[in-house]
Amino acid sequence: MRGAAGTRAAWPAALVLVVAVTGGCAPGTPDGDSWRIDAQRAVSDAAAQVHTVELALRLHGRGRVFDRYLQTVLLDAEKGVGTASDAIGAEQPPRAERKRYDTVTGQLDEAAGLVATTRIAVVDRETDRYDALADRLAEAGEALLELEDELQHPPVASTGAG
Amino acid sequence: MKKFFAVALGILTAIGGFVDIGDLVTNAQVGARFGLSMGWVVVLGVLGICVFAEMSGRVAAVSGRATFDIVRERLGPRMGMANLTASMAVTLLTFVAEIGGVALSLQLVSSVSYLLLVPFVAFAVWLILWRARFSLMENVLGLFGLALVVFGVALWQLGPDWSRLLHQLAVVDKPGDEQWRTWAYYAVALFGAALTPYEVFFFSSGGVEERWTAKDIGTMRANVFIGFPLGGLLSLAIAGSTAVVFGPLDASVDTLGQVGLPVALALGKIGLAVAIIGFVAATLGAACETGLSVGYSIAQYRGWQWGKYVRPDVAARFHLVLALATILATGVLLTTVDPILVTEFSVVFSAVALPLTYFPILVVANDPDYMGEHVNGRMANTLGTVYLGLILVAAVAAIPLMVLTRMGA
Repeated sequence: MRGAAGTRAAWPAALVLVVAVTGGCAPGTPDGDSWRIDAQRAVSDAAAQVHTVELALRLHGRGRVFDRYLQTVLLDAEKGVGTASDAIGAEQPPRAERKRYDTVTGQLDEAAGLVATTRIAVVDRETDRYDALADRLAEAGEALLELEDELQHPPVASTGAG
Repeated sequence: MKKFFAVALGILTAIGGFVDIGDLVTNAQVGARFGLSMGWVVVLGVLGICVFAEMSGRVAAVSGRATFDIVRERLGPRMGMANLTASMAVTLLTFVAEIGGVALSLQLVSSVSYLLLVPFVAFAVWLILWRARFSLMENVLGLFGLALVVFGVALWQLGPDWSRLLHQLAVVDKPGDEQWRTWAYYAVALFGAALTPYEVFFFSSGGVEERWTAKDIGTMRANVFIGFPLGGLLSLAIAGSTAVVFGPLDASVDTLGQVGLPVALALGKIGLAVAIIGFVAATLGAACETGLSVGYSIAQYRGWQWGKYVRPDVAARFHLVLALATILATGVLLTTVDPILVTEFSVVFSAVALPLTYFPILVVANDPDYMGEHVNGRMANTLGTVYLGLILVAAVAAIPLMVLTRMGA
């Protein structure tokens, strides 16, 4: 009898545990500050990788880096930008940050695309495209750094309904 | 003359063998983000490793026995086990990071994925541990590790604002856009990287392997007090190079490929090739040292026959541990875990394990029954006690800082 009563008493406890665990697994919405910190980190990481690729590409143009070294730097950078993009893309943005979420993920996707394009050019030895790609990488890197600065502040309160 | 060459060789290998994957990665990261403002942590860490390496070397030279051997006897099996567990866990983690570091270094010249290289690197490490003579392994890899001097040359060639770098070195400060807790996290990581536990176990066991006696204490001290600080200068040169190149770009350093770029900028392909040789030698040397340290610590604690100065069939269990540790490290790396992340964990957990590693050494070096007239003097005890305090602070702060800063984010 005691065993059966014990089993009955264990059911609600198990239910509470299941709800707590599954609730913990559901995507939560971070507050504005922590989302901004995560977004800043992702943008900063991506900017670092984009600037690294630009530097490596320019060094290669000056005959200072081996082909294979450049390829490895590019593969690492591509992975790094992808990781940064995935990390912030998978996070639920707070309502007030939706607009900037789109800007952040958009710019990160653009940076990832640019690094991938550069990797393709490097693997195919399209050396004549390196200068133009380095210029585009410089612009993308600067844009990411500006976005990182912007993310230091909360969003400007919207006056419209949207 | 022979003695002079022996001392010179010891110093050179101590310099070349000082830097490992933890020093490479952490110094490069810190340089890019904080400039040389944490140079004082490197200086503090180098002085600390000198204090404890000298003690453990002296223990080996006087008693003819290595650290774990005496720790268990002097402090009992319980303390011995705590000492073994803490330092073994960190050393194994460092072993994984070093094998990953060799593979990443070879990836830079081959562009073959490091995952494909890991089994070959692990096999090479095991083969060296099994077959190569101790002195050959230590001297060859240590001398090739001197290739990292190229970072000093590169820093010079980059023509930095020396007054600014020296000012950063002299003042305890941080860049405006960094938080103090992130600064503290990296300070603990740098401290842990400089004082990695395996270094003292390898140093003292190496002393036994090379049959040091009390007569060798002078040579040992020259290696420690000249070689290690000069090795520390290599760490500062790595931090200075990334500070000059990546600092203005506001770019963090997360890969080994990035670490070499300042050398390429300053010295071109030849400099880069030398840097890669330095990466391979430093990580391969440290992989051998950490692998041996795993075997040393277990065998010494259990009282098994150990060492490379005896035939493998005489020290079969020691060699079995080396083989199993290598297989385990390979397995961990083949899970595709990022070796740089493993390195970051290893330096932080190294800080956590430090008290359990260094406290027993201080106790044994103070015991006249083992040390006779070579027991710790006032200077060694004062420094040892001060460092034990610092180590305790670093150990307590390491995990909370890691969580709070999300590993220095």
